[in-house]
Amino acid sequence: MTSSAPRPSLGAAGRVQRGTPSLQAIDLHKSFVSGVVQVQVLRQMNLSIHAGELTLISGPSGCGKSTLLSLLSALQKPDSGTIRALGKDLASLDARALERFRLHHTGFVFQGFNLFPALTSLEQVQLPLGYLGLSASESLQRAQDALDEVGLTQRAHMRPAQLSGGEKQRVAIARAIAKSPQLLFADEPTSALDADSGQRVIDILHRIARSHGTTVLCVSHDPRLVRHADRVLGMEDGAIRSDWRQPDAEPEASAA
Amino acid sequence: MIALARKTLIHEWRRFVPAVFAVGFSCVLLSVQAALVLGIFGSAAVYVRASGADLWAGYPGTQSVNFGRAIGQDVNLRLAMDPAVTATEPYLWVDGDWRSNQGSGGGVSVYVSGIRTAADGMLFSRLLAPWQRAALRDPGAVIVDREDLSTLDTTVGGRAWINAHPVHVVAAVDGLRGLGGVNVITSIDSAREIAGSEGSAGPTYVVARTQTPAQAAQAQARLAAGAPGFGPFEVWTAKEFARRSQLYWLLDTGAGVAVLFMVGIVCLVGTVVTSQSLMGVVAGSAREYAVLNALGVSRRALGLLVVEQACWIGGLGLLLGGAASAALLVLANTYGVPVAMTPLTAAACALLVGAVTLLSGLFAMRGLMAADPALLLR
Repeated sequence: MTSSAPRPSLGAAGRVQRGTPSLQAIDLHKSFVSGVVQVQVLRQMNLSIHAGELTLISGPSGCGKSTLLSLLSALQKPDSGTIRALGKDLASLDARALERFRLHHTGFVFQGFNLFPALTSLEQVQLPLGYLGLSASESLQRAQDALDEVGLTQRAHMRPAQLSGGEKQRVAIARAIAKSPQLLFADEPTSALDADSGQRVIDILHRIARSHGTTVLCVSHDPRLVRHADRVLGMEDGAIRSDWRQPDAEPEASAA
Repeated sequence: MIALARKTLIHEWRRFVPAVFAVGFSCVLLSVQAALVLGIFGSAAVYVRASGADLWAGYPGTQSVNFGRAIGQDVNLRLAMDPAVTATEPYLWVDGDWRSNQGSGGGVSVYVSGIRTAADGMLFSRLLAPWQRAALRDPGAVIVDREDLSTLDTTVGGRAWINAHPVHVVAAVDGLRGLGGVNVITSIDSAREIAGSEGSAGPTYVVARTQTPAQAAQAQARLAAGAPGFGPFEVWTAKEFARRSQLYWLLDTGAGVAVLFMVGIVCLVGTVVTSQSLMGVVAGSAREYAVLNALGVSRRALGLLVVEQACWIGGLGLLLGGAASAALLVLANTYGVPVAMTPLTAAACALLVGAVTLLSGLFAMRGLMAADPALLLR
């Protein structure tokens, strides 16, 4: 969808999506300076993402999908345009407020699992919860629940060196979902994994979207992900070129 | 809250060892340099520190103990007239040329200190045992530092000549080594003999004891106010005169400035090594910190995490460096190397190393946070 004004997204079957989008990009522009050349990465980007869906942004390397993810997840600010996340205008928030927004509302899963080598799986998940001001017992319970959800209860006391790549990524997912975020962002979460592990990670992300009503936005060029996503946005040259939805996918009407 | 800094330090101790060693290295460099400076330049005032006098009277403007000139005999009387002064005694300083009767080499420049040999004598009272002081009553008897015996090419009981006057070594003591020349203690009568006609001009200094050390400053102020008919002379408290002598050697001589310059370079190298090691440690965890920031952990909280890590590294480095420094200083002391350490200097060294560690950590954090978290996650 590349229209110039915000509007409800259109599925492949032409259905109009009702309900307020949990994540909305309006006329986004972003460029970077490379040497003396200014590279326009995103051009007049308009996009609406709904809760309860696994939305996949797919496209070739360098098309701007990771930049779009970093803008929508409040890691970066756009040159111009508006980003509304959970009803808040992110552009109006200062750096501290953005950190608070991310702490309370967003989770991240990255290609490189980025786990602390010294911490066990349980501690990795507990770590960000401490910054939410939760008590030790509460954060322990939440961390155990999150690890249970990704099927790693048996690996709770193991360090990253003792885990496989897929297990590490599942710990990273548990770390992201333990905060109960309404928005979950995943940047190439399966690219470094074998087929089985990748499949498992996709299933978990999908289940989180469906069972928790979480807005899951995933950026990937992994073709295995396409058939598991509720919605696939094809991106090229800094713009959305296609918007495809699973025929049976029904977004939640009451978006967060 | 998960103790990330401590757990990481324990689990990845190999990664932190270079940084801990760098801090320890910096600590050793700094404390040994400080101890050497204190030791070397402290020896410029060994005459004052080793003596029990509270006041020193000498020629006006004397920069250092070894630059004394003859003052009038009446200065002794003027000091004794002050109500706070309980005892006075003269100190005769003679520049001499030592020639051993054992070797065939040339002479050695020596500083001869002529002192009162009575049991209650103030000069070198902290260095000489009563029997050593008594032994000096023998004409030509001298006492030298044990480490200087080889320089003087003599032994205890050995004979030599100073300015062509026969002398014999009756004892050797520790802690008499000086700056610029070899110190030789003798009785004031022997010193006058050695000085020849110069010895009759008067003592180089007159030292005095006050009723209590606390009265020294007041007595000095009274004596400084002027004494018509006496002099010329100037009076310093022992602490002042020791400090004056040290500062002269430290700041007004080429050797002192060179040593200070070396200390500065050593500190700079230590700081850079520590800083680089710590920054390497922080940079090694950059991606993990960036993830925490992406998850909403504030930069301030991350900064505190790095500072905590720096404090652990700094603390361990200080323990290591402190132990190594203490061992080195004991070794240096055993071999007669002039070193001195005071609690205040040790605390200042620890504080400086701690501050360097902390600043390095903050600097490393600043560099890390200046980077775009979005780019760090690629």
